[in-house]
Amino acid sequence: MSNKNLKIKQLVAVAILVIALGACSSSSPSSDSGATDTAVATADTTAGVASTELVVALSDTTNMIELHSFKSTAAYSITKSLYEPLLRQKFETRDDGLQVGTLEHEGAGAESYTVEVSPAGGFVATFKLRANAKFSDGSPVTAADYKYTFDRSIKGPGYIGLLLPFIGVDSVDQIKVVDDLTLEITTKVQSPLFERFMTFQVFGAINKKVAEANKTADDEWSFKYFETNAAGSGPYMIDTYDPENGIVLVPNPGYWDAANVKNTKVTVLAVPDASQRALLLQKGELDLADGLPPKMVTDLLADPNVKVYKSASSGVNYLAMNVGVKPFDNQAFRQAILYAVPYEGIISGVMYGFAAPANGVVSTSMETYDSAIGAGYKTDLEMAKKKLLESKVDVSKLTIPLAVRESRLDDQAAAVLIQDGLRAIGVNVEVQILPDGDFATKQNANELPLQIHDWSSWGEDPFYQMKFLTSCGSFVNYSRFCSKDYDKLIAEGIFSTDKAVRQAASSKAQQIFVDQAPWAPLWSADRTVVVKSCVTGVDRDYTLVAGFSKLNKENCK
Amino acid sequence: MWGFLVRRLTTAFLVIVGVAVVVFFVIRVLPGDGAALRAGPYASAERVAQIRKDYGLDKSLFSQFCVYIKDLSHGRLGTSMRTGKNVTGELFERLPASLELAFYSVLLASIIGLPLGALAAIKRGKVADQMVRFFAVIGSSMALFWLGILLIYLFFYILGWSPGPVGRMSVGQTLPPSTTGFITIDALIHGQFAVLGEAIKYLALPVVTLSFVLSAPIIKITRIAVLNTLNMEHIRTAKSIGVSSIDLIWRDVFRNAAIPIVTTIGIVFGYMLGGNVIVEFLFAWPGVGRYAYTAIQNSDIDAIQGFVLLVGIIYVLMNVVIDFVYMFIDPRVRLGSDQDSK
Repeated sequence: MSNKNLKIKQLVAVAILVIALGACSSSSPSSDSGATDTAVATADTTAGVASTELVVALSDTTNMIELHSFKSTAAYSITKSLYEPLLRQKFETRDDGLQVGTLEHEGAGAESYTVEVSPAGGFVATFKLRANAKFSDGSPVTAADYKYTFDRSIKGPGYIGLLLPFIGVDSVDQIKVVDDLTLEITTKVQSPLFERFMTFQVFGAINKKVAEANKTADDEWSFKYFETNAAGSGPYMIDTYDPENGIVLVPNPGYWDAANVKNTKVTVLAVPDASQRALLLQKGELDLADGLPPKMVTDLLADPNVKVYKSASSGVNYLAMNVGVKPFDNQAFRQAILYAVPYEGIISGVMYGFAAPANGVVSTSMETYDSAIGAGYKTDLEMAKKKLLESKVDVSKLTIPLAVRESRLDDQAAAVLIQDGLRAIGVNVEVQILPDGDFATKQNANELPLQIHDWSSWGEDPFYQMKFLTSCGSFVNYSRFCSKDYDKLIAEGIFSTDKAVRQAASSKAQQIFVDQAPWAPLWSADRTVVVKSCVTGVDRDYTLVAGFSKLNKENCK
Repeated sequence: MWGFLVRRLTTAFLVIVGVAVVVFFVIRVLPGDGAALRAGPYASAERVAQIRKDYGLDKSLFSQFCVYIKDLSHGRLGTSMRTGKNVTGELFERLPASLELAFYSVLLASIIGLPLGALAAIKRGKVADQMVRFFAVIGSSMALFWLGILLIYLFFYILGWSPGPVGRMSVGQTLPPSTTGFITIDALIHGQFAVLGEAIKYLALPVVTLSFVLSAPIIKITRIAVLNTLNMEHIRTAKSIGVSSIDLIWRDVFRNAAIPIVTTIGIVFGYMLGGNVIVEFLFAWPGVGRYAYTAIQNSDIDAIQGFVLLVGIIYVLMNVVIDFVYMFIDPRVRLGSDQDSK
């Protein structure tokens, strides 16, 4: 064999080895999902004719679409599009075109419903389902499917079972199938949250037949199957499930309100960098960009090609002080911290005005928020120094770690301002930026004396928020604050439908909370969505999760 | 030659086993695990504990190690706590994207770096040498993220010459049937030239970003290697007897300088796979780098472990390939291996 032939063979062998490394996989989506690389029409194909296909990029990547598991923000937008709950909010349209959900509700999966007081003192709610509602596979939606969803919420391994006691439901026996199209739910209490809960996507009907066909011995409720598959009756169904490259949603032909789905396709791209999302939007390659930081949104206000929708939210970002750890076990010290935090500086310098003051554990936009009490949260360095003296804590050799999550740039910026504010009264703080997983682990292990965290209550209910975030023993009460009087007030208001009773209890609770000072409430971030200026139909509901069905491009050329 | 290959692969396998063991213990030193994140903000302590149990994190280190080795022997890299999917599948879905990006970046960096390095060596001390070295300094000190943002802003946003940073292909474009996983090669194989053009357009900016930075070490090592070779007696003799410059450079100088250059290119390629995170993030490239970044943020132990192991394996295999290439370049290596096998 000649030298030249040998060299050629060796070269070919090397090339095969290199290509084999790349050939050890497929670039097509996971076969679990059943999704394919099917050809789909490109958008905006004909000049001058508006496309009805949307391209959106959300704040993070979809990690799974299992309805009852905690997941990424983008994933919640996907599941909202796939599953239809019994009720939905009524919407009002603002002057700028934003459709804002109200506290009134109407039938969604249910054509009609009644809620009456039961003899036992709770509610009896009867839901008549729509005869024309179908799942994405064409099968009819029945009461048994909704029952299955509620049973799964209560007995399945997901987190939803923790929510239902807030409306007085903790047993599958409280969910009854009356007939194929009638579902009855009885509750143990009269909770003002009941109807709101019925609008949550997590109670959207799951196709029971599909679920049961995919269960296994280890996975009775088919959680594994639904991580990458869906079986809902919502406005959309999945055409392609490929979170890394793009999830494609197409209208569900069996959706009861299909006539009001204003677009024919939604492609959800994964664009992790916010600045690139903004650039793509400005160049017209995206119709909607979510999760843009406040500074970027400020810059986009001046661009005539895009439109910014902003609305107040009841979410809260807060500085939690662990009252079980010195020196935060000292009430005067905590109050000193409260007065040293630069609240206004954070809202203008970190949030660029796209936030409202948080002013307490009850957000300023929530019912029963008491502004007279909320005004107690203000920066006052003289008062802070006075409280520090009163506390008798020796801060000269103290350095307090302030933990923030790596993924939260706003929290990090706020932490720097807080560090500066506390330094002005002689308290040294070291900002620790932790990977999110490490932060969560340390948080649960009670290892963070000072941290910035955030919360958003889907039902926008003050007692729900107080109960989760600040009641004794609550798992997510990261300040470990505990007051029996405070908890008693929560118990008084949480299941009362009397507005006066709720207001009185909430005000007293808010006062205790300010006095005890386990938190410095930092801001309530506005819900901002940025779209191409010709796109209409942007809405905002309880969950603040981006929805797609109303989005309309008829004005776009 | 085949004996040499078998010996090298055997050594490589032993190295991979060592890497696998080290990776397991190093990853477990990292603080936190993803159970709390997976459970979510509404979770109870019991729920977090259940998740840790589901993923085997409640077992002793030794038990976890035994499970790990057993799974590895079946090609399983565990389950991602973030997505619930098996890590092997997720990594191999994303690997072609990273390999394609790395391959073309290194190729372009070599096309830029080799001739410039040689030019700098040949024109040592002259203006051309200084300009090339200046270029190399810029390349090695350039922040990848900044360069990427600048190129996107200029070529996509201002000039409109380049598509947006949305990954490997335009929205709605059908991919060619997957043979190699490289969209460019698959499109060529299946005669889909429009798709090939699209793929090249989407590759252009991330490849240019990476190759600009990667070309710097290639230029430097090529310059040094060529300089050393130019000073050798047989080269000076060849020049003195009138061998043409082009023949001299291509046939003699490069052949003799190739070994350190190939080594550098191989190291750079291996580095690319582990270090592509920034570019993959910026360009929404669906590769293993971006997967690893998300895994680290979420303390997704199996995913991090799987990624580190995969990169380690590719590095080891890359070294085997480089050794093989040495045999092709340098007959002394080939003859030495043939003698060893007799």
